[in-house]
This record gives sequence, structure tokens and C-alpha cells, in this order.
Amino acid sequence: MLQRFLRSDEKAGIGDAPGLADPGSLVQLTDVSLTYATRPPLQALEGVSISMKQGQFVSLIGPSGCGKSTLLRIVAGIMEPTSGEVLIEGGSPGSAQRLHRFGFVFQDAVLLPWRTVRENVELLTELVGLPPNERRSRARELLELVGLRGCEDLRPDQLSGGMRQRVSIARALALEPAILLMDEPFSALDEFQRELLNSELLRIWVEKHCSVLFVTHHIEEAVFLSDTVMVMSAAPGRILESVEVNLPRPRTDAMRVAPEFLQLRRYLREVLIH
Amino acid sequence: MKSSFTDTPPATTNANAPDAQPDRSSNRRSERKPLTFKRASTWAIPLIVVIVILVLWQIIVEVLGLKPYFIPTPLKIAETFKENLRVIADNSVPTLAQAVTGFAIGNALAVVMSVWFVHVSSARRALYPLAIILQSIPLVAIAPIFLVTLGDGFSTKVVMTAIISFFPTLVNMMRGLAAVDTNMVQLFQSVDASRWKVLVKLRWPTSLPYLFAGLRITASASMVGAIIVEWISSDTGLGYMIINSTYQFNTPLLWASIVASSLLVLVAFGVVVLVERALVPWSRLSEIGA
Repeated sequence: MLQRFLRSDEKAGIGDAPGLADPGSLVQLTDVSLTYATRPPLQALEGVSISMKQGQFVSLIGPSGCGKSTLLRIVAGIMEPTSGEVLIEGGSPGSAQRLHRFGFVFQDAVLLPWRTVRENVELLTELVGLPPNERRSRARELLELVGLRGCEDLRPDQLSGGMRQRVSIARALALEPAILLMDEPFSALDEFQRELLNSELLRIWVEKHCSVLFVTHHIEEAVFLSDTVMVMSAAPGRILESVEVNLPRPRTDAMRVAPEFLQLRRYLREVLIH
Repeated sequence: MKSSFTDTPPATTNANAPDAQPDRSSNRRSERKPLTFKRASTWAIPLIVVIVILVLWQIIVEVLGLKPYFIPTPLKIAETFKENLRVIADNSVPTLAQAVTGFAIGNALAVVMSVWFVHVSSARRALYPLAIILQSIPLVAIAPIFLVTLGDGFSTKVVMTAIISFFPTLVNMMRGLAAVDTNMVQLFQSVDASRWKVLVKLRWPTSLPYLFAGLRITASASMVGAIIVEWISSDTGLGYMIINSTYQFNTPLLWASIVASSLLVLVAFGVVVLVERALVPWSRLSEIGA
């Protein structure tokens, strides 16, 4: 059982020399550090290296304030690291953003309350200037995908928290991104909604053939969803360990109580608490 | 008219507290019923209170045998109102005209300035303090200046009511235009949306509940302002009627003019609330604050 818990530095693609990007790699962070220029300087991230391949589901897990959301922003090019290299499909995060390679899902659904569900899903395609019929057919298809068929004309305040988050996932997929960046998207939901949306997200991920970088502080969620779970420590944020989850796919709810699942959960808990 | 200009709407912009309500159709229906009940009670209870006060007033004045020029009974006021309906209507027109014109000019300026201030920080730094200073000067103190420079005509009165209408809306709009969710701004930036698009598709709709918060305050404030300006210098209008009937000890007419003034304010307020409900259906403010 324990051979499944490979250490990150033994895996290919992690800890490579800078600039030697693996051609199949989607996200490549090499020795990324971030220090805020406060007095005294506050180091938020220290020597973070991540390698993520096309189609992977990777979770970042760690205590509050460990810099996981900051790391997500660095991947998206919203923040610049103080040192280290960030490559998205071999290019800069900025160029990846211009090519609409990222889809964003936040902790809150952040929908526009004056727009219907369909209009919210069409927001980005509209801003990019796609023709209306193209926008509409994409929105219809995506709402079907996230299980909101028939809800097109409802307004966000008529939806439950889980449904709002489904809308925000549909919106994130509208420009067909290569990678979904999800920042604790289900942390405001109750346990049942969370588990339901976990399964839904996996289904969507398989159907859309995208990759997901998923920030969470929920161990079970991370294990259930991911191929790889990156465990982070706080102050400064570092990757403590990168744990492969070799549970078979498709994942089912029954697996949540399987011995291997529980063992992984326990192991991650130990790493987090250490 | 100064104290309440920071009427802040609750956060209506982003997602509300998460709930686990999977069935939306029942969610929608169950919301309706308590709302109508609440609405009925919000109207009925104050109405009963008002009627009770009026009846007590009538009885007390009659029992004590007070003279109408000292304090008239509600029935006497109603009678005077009816007798002088023509005069009251004729004098309402100029008051309403200057209030509405000032309201429109002041609010339009405030909206334009707020958009400018939010986008051009140097303009905000240069001019916002001036706006605050302008607001801090009492209207009654500034009125003679305009009377001297603009004369005592329509333009003076409109300028005064415009000044009154300007500031509350400016403050509210600057808040509203800035009250956007940072993640939403990030989404717009992720597709290189121009500032114009951010304004039109995000900032402007976000600010509408705040705009109407300002419009509600200024709808009544501009009416009050118009009446005050008529006190200072006018020979028509409800303000003039109030002053004139006071000098003539025509207390019933004074009271009738006051009733007419407050009716106008109520109508102005009601129009703003109705327009808000039509244009900003997602705002909860119209249900709370009305």
C-alpha cells in the first residue's frame, strides 16, 4: 500500500532544471518564491515546484493562509512571483490568459444578479465577441453539462448555493479553457451538496477533457477528486509532499469508505499535521 | 436633508449566503405569500396609527375649545384644503417644476461626475474635496449669493435644488461604482475587457441600487429645498404660501399648504420607488426601504 505514496522529488517532471520544460507539461512551476515587501518582509511562498500534465486533476491542500490561493493566482498570471519560473504550456501565464486557456471558479459563485443563468454563462463569450447564436448554443450545451437544463431563464437569487456554483462552472468552461483553476469552490456548501458536486465535477472533467488545479482545505474532497494531492505547509508556503492517488476511476461515492481511501486520508492528515 | 445622504444598500452584488434549497420552484412560491402579508401589515398598521392620531387631535382641539388660528382641527384643515384646492394646485406647479428640474440637473451631474471620479483618480483628488466643501455650506447661507448673481428667478431656484440633489447621489454612486466583486473584475480582465465594457456591463448595473438610494433621498430633498428657496424669495409656490399664510395668521391655510407639500414629497418618493422596482428588480432595497 505504501508504495503508492511516492515522494514528489522522485517523480519525473518535478524538480527539473529551469527552462527544461517537459513538452507534455501543462503547468510547470520551478522554484517559485514570493515575498511581500512589507516590513519585515513576509515570505508567502518558498521554493514551490509543481508539474502538472495535460488532463490531470491536481489538488493543493493546506491550512488557511498557506498561500494556496496565492499560488493559484501566480499560475493564472494575476500575481508575479519574486523568483522562480512559471510556464503554462511552455509559455508565460500572460500569453496563456490571452489565449483563454484558464477558466476560473471562485469560492463564491460571483454571478451577476441582473443576468439570467444563461446570460451569466454567456458573459465571457459575449465579452470576447462571439456571435449571439454561437454564445447561445454553447451556453445551452454547458448548462446541460452541469445539470441545469431548464434553468436558463432563472435569476441567480432563485438558485441554491450548489446551483449557483454549477452556473459558475459552466461560465468557466465557456471559452473552452485547457485548465480550470478552482479556488475552494465547494467550501461554502453543506456536506451533501459538496459530495454531489464532487462527483459532478469529475463527470464534467472527463467529458470536457480539461485539466483542473483545485485548491481546497478538505482532505476527503482532495483525495476523492485528484490524481495528485500537493500538501502545503504555512508560513512560508511550501510543498511538503506530493501524493499520488491511485484509486481507480471513475470514482464512486462507495469509494469514500474504501480502506485505501481511508488510508490515504489518514496519511494526508498526518502529513498536514506532522 | 443633510444627515441621511449615505443611505447604503445592502450587498446585493454577489452571491448570497449559501443555502441548500434544491427545489427552486417551491422556493419561488413560498417567497410570495409572507411578502404580501408583510406588505399589507406595513401599510395597514401605520394607517391605523395615523387615523387614531387624527381622531384624538380632533377631539382634543374641540374639547379644549382651541381657536383655529392657534391650532385647527384635521377636519378644518381638510375643509380649507378643499376650498383652496385651486390656489394650492396653482402654487404646487412652480414648486414642483423647480424641484423636478433641479433634481434632474443635480442627479445627472452627480452621475457623470461619479463615473469620471471613479475612472480618473486625479480628477477625484482635485474635485471631490471641493464637492464636500460645497455640501458643507448650508443652503440658507448660500442662497443670497445666488439671489445677487442670478436674480430671484427660476434659475436661482433650480441651481439651489440642483446643489441639494447633487451630493447624496454623488456619494452613493461613487460607492456603487466601486462596489464590484474583485473576482468579477478579474474575470473581466481575464478576457481583456476594456474599461468601457467593465463600466457598462459591470459597474453601472452594480451601482443602480446605490443610484436609487441617492434618488430617493434627493427626490424629497429637492422638494424641501424648493420650498425653502421660496421662503427666501418668491411670490408663488408652496413655500410662499406657507410663509404668507403664517404672516396672515391664516393657520388653517398654513396647515393645508404643509399637507400639500408633504403629499408632493410622498408622490415624488413613490415615483422613484416604482421606477426602481421596474428597472432594478434584483435589488432588495425597494422592499426594505420603502
